[in-house]
Amino acid sequence: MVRQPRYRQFSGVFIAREDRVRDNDAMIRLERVTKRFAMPGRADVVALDCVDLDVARGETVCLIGASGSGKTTALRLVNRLVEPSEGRVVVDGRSVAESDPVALRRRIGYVVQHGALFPHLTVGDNVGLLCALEGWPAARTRARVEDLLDRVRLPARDFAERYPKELSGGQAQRVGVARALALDPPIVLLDEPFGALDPITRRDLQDEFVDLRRDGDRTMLFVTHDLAEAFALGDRVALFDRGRILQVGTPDDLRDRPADEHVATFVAHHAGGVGR
Amino acid sequence: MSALRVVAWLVVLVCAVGAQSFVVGSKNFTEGRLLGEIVAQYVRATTRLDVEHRADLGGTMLCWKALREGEIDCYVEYTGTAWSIILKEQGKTADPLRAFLHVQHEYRRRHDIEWMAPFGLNNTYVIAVRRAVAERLGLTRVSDLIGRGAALRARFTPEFVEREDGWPGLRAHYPGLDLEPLGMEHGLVYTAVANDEVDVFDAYSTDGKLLRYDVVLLDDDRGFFPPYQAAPVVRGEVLRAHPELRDALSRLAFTIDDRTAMALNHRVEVGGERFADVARAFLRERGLIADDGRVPQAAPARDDRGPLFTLWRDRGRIGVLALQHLGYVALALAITALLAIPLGVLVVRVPALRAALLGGASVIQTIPSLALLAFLIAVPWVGLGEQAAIIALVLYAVLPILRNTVTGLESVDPVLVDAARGMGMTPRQVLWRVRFPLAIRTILAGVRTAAVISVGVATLAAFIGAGGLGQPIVTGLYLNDTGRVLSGAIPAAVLALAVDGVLGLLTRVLTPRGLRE
Repeated sequence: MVRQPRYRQFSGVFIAREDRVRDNDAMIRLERVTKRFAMPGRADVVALDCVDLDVARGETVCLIGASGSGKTTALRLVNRLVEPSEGRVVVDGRSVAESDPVALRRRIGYVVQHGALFPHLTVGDNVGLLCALEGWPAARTRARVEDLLDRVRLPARDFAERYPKELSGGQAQRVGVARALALDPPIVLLDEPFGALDPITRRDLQDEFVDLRRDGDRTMLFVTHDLAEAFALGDRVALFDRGRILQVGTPDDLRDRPADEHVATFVAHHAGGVGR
Repeated sequence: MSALRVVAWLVVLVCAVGAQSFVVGSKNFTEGRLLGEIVAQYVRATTRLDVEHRADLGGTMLCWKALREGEIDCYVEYTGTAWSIILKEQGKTADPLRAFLHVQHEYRRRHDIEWMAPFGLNNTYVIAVRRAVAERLGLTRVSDLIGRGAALRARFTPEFVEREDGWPGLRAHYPGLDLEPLGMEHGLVYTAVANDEVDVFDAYSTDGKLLRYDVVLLDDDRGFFPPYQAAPVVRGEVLRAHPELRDALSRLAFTIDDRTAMALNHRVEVGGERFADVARAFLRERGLIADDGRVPQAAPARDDRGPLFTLWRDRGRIGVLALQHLGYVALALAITALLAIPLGVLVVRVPALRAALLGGASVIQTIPSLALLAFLIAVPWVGLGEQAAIIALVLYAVLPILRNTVTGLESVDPVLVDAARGMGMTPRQVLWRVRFPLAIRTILAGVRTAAVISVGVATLAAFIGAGGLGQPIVTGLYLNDTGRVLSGAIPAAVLALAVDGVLGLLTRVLTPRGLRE
């Protein structure tokens, strides 16, 4: 395994975040969660099988695995887009089953592939939509939108009045991130946000994501199928396989101390892509 | 004996046999057909001719054309019809004898066609009033109607509304007549009279149905309605070849007066008896024949005729009808949109209603429009004319708008809906801020489809007295006047295109900018 410079550059951050995990100050906790999807005319599909996962306040955990391994289902449990069949999901000390889904989701930013911007709204309106729904005064919303667009390096002056169809893939994805941060949520869920981008744009966005992560105290769950991305962006990485978590640990843990053969094989198999 | 002589004999023989057949045509309404049947049976019974009766030939122009081309030898015509429609006489006369002599003379001179002596009946227009209304207002004569227009609901057949010898002439002949008649199919008028929905209507003075409804026939006290005496018209050539025909037909003269005609018509129309049986019974009761005739055969025919000049000539009136037409369509669309779009939202939010609402709308769409109109005017609280027309238009427009609303709302990219829910929008916000704006183009496409359908369906409004561009179409069909049909059909088609174009522009304007191409 050759360590790439870019990778090493961030390893200090991972160690710093380790402390928070040890505090056992869990912001997100999945407790023995099982999720079965009913399939008409066939046996249920078990998407998650008795999964436990703790994510500390301020920590970024990347969920990685093949498609169908359950990583996206795990993510969607947190903002109640999916309800568990068994077990419990706790966010900030409170079971999500007892929270109002709308109130819960407004405290949890949500970023999906391609940005999923609303094509009938301008970039500014997309970003400011939740502020408007929260009843913010227009001036405050406008200021917030400008601030957010600046942070994702899309000056409001140039971009606020554009429509999503006038953006490149990378720009749309940045707007998607800005929109998720509109209400400054303590938690952000990202579902393969950079999955469909070309490699160069993707690396730019990954770098920006690192910056973004530094300037807040956000807890993030980041689904990806790219091990390099997971190692670069996650404080810890959870490796999913057929509805179970094989190992949760720092990138170093997974690489140097794999829990079993499967983890070792997975890391070795995908190592060629790490760092490049 | 050469072969040539054999052939010559055969030719003579065939000609003789051919000349022996006598073809009676008849117009396609009860009395026309019945009189044709009486003529056919009587000639068959009293001459050696081989008689064929071609019933249901069509209207006046079809019979006239067939007669002139020798396709038929005889049919029963009315003096008033010959006067105005065949001879196209500009003046008018109320004198039955003068009218008869005039058309007889002109037919002989111009066409070598002979008018036989009339049957006696005068099947002219008559203004009928419901008895209760007539007694309340003391109406016995047409002039009694003057100044009473506001209190009376008048429905005239589209033909009567249009014809010079109908309403326009009547109004001019009785100054101060202030009825505001709407066009309505004759068959529907009687139902409407029975339901107390019509007070005044036009009828034929020998209509058998008049015996059945409690109506008063107003006296044409100032002699407006032209005489419509029925008589057989026969090709001169045929009469010369078979002089016995003249004798036979003259024995039918003045055997059928108005009351008799009414009773005979009634036996067919209400009693459901066959034409052949009623004709035979009549001839026997009068002692005119003793033996049986054959059952008549129907022979359909068509005609193509008519210039476009009607459209230009009537442009002012067509414009008014077009505006009325557009008004119905616009009102019906507005009502439907307010009804069907919320229903579409309901279907998306409550899937259990889906089958009932979409299925129901589809079933309505399959009902033939005329059947729906006939059904609607039978519903007591709907009544006639405008309301029924608008309800029918609304019912037809529901499906395209409802279906497109549902399709539009449901075909919104699920990723966007997921993102909207995931970021914390309430179901209502997801619907109105995401689904609806993204579906608006599809919904408007449904409105556009509904609009074009409505322009077409609205032409049928004329059948129930609601006017619109259907009025010249319906009238033209009755008068067998293609020009008049086109004078309604062409503007209706243009209107449909215009409505489609305008709604296309509206769709562009209403589509959110980010969604435009």
